[in-house]
Amino acid sequence: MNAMSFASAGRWLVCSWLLCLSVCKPCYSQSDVYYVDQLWTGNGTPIQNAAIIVENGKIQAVGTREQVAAPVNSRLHELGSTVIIPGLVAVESFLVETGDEEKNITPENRAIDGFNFFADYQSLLAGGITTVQVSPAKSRLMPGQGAVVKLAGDSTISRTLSTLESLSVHLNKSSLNPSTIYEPPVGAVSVDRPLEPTRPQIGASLVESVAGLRLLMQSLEGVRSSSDIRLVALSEIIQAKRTFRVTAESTAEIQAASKFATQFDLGWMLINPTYLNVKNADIDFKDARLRGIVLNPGIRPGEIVNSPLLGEDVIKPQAVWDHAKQLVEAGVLEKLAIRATSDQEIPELLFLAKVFLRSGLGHEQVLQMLTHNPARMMGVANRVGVLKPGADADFVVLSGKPFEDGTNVIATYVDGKAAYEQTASSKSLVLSAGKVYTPSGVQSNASVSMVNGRIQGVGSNVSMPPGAVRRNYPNATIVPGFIDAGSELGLGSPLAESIGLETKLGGLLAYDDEAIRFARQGGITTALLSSSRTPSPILAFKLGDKPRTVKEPVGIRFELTGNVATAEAGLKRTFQTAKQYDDLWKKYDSSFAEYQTKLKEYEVSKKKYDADVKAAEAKKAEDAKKAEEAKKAEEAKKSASTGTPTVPSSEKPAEQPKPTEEKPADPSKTVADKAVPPATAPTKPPEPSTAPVLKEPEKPKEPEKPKANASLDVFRELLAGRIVAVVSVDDERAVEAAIRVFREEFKVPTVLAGDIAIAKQAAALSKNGIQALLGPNFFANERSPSANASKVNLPVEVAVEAVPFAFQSKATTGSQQLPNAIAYSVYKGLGRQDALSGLTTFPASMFKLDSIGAIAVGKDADAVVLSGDPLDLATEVLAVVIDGVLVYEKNWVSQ
Amino acid sequence: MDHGRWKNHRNEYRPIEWPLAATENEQPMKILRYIFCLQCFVAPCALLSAADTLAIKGAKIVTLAGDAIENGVIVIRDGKIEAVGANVSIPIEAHVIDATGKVVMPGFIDAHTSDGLNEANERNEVVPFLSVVDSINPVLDYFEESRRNGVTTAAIVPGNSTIIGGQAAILKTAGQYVDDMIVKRNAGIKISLRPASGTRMSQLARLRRELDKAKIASEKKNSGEETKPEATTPEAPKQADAPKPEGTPPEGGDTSTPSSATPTATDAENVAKGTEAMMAVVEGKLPVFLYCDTAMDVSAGKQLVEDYKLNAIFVLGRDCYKAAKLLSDRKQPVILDKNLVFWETNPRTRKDEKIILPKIYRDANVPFVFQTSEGSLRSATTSSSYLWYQAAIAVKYGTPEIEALKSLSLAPAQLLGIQDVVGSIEVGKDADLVVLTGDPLRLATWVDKTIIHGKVVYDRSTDQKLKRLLSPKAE
Repeated sequence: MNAMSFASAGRWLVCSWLLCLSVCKPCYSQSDVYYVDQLWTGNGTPIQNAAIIVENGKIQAVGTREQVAAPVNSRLHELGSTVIIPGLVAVESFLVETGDEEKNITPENRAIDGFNFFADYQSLLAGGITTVQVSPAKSRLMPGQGAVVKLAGDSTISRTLSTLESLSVHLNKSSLNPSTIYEPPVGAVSVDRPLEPTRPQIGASLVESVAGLRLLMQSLEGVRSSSDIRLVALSEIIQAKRTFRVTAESTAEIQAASKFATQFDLGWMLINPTYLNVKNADIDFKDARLRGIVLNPGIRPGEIVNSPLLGEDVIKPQAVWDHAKQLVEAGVLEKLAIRATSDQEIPELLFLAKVFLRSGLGHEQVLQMLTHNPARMMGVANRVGVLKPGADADFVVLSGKPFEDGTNVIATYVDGKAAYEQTASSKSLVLSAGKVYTPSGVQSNASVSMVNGRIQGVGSNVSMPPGAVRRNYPNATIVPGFIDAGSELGLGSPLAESIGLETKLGGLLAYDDEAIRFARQGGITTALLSSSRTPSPILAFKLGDKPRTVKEPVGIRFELTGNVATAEAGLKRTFQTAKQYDDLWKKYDSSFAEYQTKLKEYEVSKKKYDADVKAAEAKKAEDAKKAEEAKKAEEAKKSASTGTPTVPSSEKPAEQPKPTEEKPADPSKTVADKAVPPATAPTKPPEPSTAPVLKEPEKPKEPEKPKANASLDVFRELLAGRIVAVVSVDDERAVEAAIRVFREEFKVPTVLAGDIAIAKQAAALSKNGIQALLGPNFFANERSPSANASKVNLPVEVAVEAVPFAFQSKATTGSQQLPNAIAYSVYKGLGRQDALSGLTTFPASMFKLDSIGAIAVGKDADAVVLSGDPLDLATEVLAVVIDGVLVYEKNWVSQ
Repeated sequence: MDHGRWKNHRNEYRPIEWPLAATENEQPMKILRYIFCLQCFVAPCALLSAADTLAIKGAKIVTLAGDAIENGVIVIRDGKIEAVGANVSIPIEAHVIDATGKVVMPGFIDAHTSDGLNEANERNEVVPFLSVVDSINPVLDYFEESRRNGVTTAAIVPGNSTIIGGQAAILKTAGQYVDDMIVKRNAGIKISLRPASGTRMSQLARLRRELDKAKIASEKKNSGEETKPEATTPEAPKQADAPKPEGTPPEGGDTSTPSSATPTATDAENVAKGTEAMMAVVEGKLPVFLYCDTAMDVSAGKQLVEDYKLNAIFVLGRDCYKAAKLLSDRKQPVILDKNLVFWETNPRTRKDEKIILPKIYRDANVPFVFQTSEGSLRSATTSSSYLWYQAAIAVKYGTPEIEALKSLSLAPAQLLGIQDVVGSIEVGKDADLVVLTGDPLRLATWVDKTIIHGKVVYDRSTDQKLKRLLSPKAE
């Protein structure tokens, strides 16, 4: 009885609890599950095919897909072939407010006070860094206490992992001779007055500094609250047993640091031990008081640094990777961490760490030195550095394995929220996949690089454009973007009005059209658009966020339906008008060409004539000059003969040069002037010798332009074969009529759109060089009286006659289903390559769209990433790229 | 003449009353004083009515204590509101102001300003003993400007470029001498988180140190008082001789820590050194005007408030909007920067963004009041130096009008702890009123009269300066 009631009460409890759970769960917490190829936990071997569950900013579970069951109502994120690693932990940085501290010893200063939680840390997050240690300063002996903070998150409290992590002590050159210090450095004075030097400032040395620090430590015993602020702070630090973070580079400094820590029983960290001699150092690396050793690769990414040349007698430092190797051999892998030389290099920690691969350390071990180890030595490993249940959901999604060339950060999550996401609008994109369909065949394990909307390289070893977004799909297939050769997309709604052939539909395309977004998820990157009222111009456009015209018009759409006889007659009339118009223009063109040749001839002869005239004038001038000279000579003779140049001669020389000066100038002037208006002097004596020969040539007359008709101009393009006629046909007679009108009479490039009629007449199409446009139905019932009429697979019928064909959806959002519809044809026997051509290369050549339809260098960067073979119902679309922009990525949830 | 005798004790305001019950032998002296007193108070305010009873009738009264009263009457006697309502009879002896068609509101309260001082402290960093009262100059333009704009009460606070900048005081904006004006002498301590010199790290380290010292002093005092006040004295020598570095004098450059309190300090010393004030701060008795310059100061400030249990009034700089969310758990309003709307360039996107402080804080659920001061800089007579303009801006960006009106008087009164005296039109409160020519927060509305303590201290009809400004040709 009792037990019964107990049980029923229990059941009630469970029931109500379940009820409560089912009611409450969706409202307060929702979990996110991320599936990736690999997950590196930060302190172990990577998990293949992994899943990670995140709830309320914390990790719920980590494991393989099979191990981890997604909770009900959770959001699933398929991150494809990406790799997740823990958010990187920068073990030392100086991200504090700048400003000089005038004192060399300020243990009371807290870096957390100088850290700006509200600053922008995108560059660090973009490098995968989620947690940093901040130190107060680097050129002071004891600048203060460091903190450990996260670079993103909701509140400053949750972002602060450790307010007072360690006390920095710098035993290196920069702190022994600090800049802009107005206070004498600490010297060995006395226990009574550890901060009061007896001497004026002198250059500090290591021995003094260490002695000073010792005195400082010894003086702390009797420190009271009312003592010097620095002593009080230091005393608190000692009491709280905080870590000393000692930067020591030379052997002596390292030894001094070690001895100092041992003497005062301090927990300590060794930073930058450049001259560490692991084998001979008098340091017990396994001692628990030594929290960690922070190594500096000393590399500046992409920069060349001149290092000082050391003399032969100087002991050269060991390579930093050798330090790492020896320390790992000494069994202290867990105590190793990697720091960057300066704050600028912190975003490149993943690259800098590669140098440790030289020592033969494993990739997981090196990653551990960037994640778990620094978190552990700073006492924050329960929250960051390792991907384990209960830890903060701080992780980085990489495009490939860490330390692999070309791997980049796709997104950085902090507390389960995306704190950084690579922008897909980057100018360059590199897609890698197991198979790439190119005009020269299927390439395996190849990449396609796209820059500024064009394909820049295709192959297994393409160079990575700078700043490229990278996507890796190992088992996927890349095919060219699909072309829907007849859709109703683009204007927001189907176009059913009759429009002039000259209408430019490209200017009317709607931006941010939902239907376009939907359609391209099927892999359609280019669509053709025309009005359902014929004749109509056809526009080809890209389905980007801002739809872009590829070519306009690419053709004219006609109809040969209903009463074929009248329709044919009507079409003929239209064509005849167009032809007349065309002839008119042709005539004009030929006469204009004639005119131009004549004009050229005229110009030549006119030039000749002008030259002749000039020559004649020049000759005349010459003669005139000669005559004048002769005259002068005569005059001179005369005056000379008179023999008395006494008075007038003295005046004349001043005047005389004038005419002589004028004269040489004269002929040149007249020659220049003559061409335009006949000069005054030379015209006076008309020379009979040249006049009758010269005859000015006649200027040819320009032919009159015919009246332009924009609508008929489009027909001219068609008649010239530059664009295509797309003719919808209903039955076989219509096909015959179309052949007569379009091919036999007017000889224009023709595409016939229809279903069973085309299939029946496929041979005729082939014979007449007509191409086929199939859809929206790709199967038709045989029109035969037999009851069990089989369905005809139209593309196959056309393909066997070697008629090039394209596909149209005649739909808006339904355009997305076009590849699926064709997949059925493939399933029923259509060749896969043929089918793919029908969506890519055939329509591209059919409509003379040279820039699209293939994955080849120089073409537009339109591609579709498929999970398997193209046009297979078992295959899904993973990503769609239009003009080099990732417009669709399956399951790539962005927040 | 000794004015100190009429002023009341530090923390409360009482109207200056003539002591009626005086002893015989003091009588002649008192009459002299009375005459002097009349000269003092009547002379500067020519408009002051001799009658002790004033009535305002016909106006719409926005009491902020309930619904607005149309065509109401306010009766003021001896500087206090005696009655308010629609059906209140006007005493026969009352001087009547006919405010038909006008709107009467409680006088505005400036919650934080460093104006009205001969010199705002911006130099000495740790000076808790310093008080603004010593620097207030009642004839400064600030007070006249305030009355002209309906501000009847102001919290005058030391400047922002200090660490512990001194003690603030709350004053009425009319009076001959400082002592006449004081509502609350020691209204709070200014603590600034903007580094006065050096880095934020050392600023905060020094501030914490001072607060720690005050805390220790407070604990010592409290434990000492339990036995005997003098009990602390014998402890002193023991303290002094134990460790030698005790009481290390500050080094040459560091002169700004004069308040090194020792347990030996007597109460007088404590007052002189400001230790008493600092003790009141860490005991939560004395509010702190906590100036936060940037968003990062807000988080540091919050931490300080938590660590030291401070009774803080957040005074926010422009940049603090980034940390608005951090303040959403605060019940008391924050004091916004003078610039309520400004443009800022986003460092990442390089786009200019319009920052609207009232909207951001409202969205973050943080109540706020306004100020017109910019630290020590004298505020020019520009639009944003009017409290009512600030409130109008807030209304423009979505604050409900009644809330905006409350933020002009009732909210700051509550924030400053003077809501029993001022802040709304209620019986028993000081008769600090603003008579507006029309509805509040309208551009065409003028302050017609400002009444402080039942006396008209500003009247637009006799405002010569305004007349000159508006019609210079009339002269």
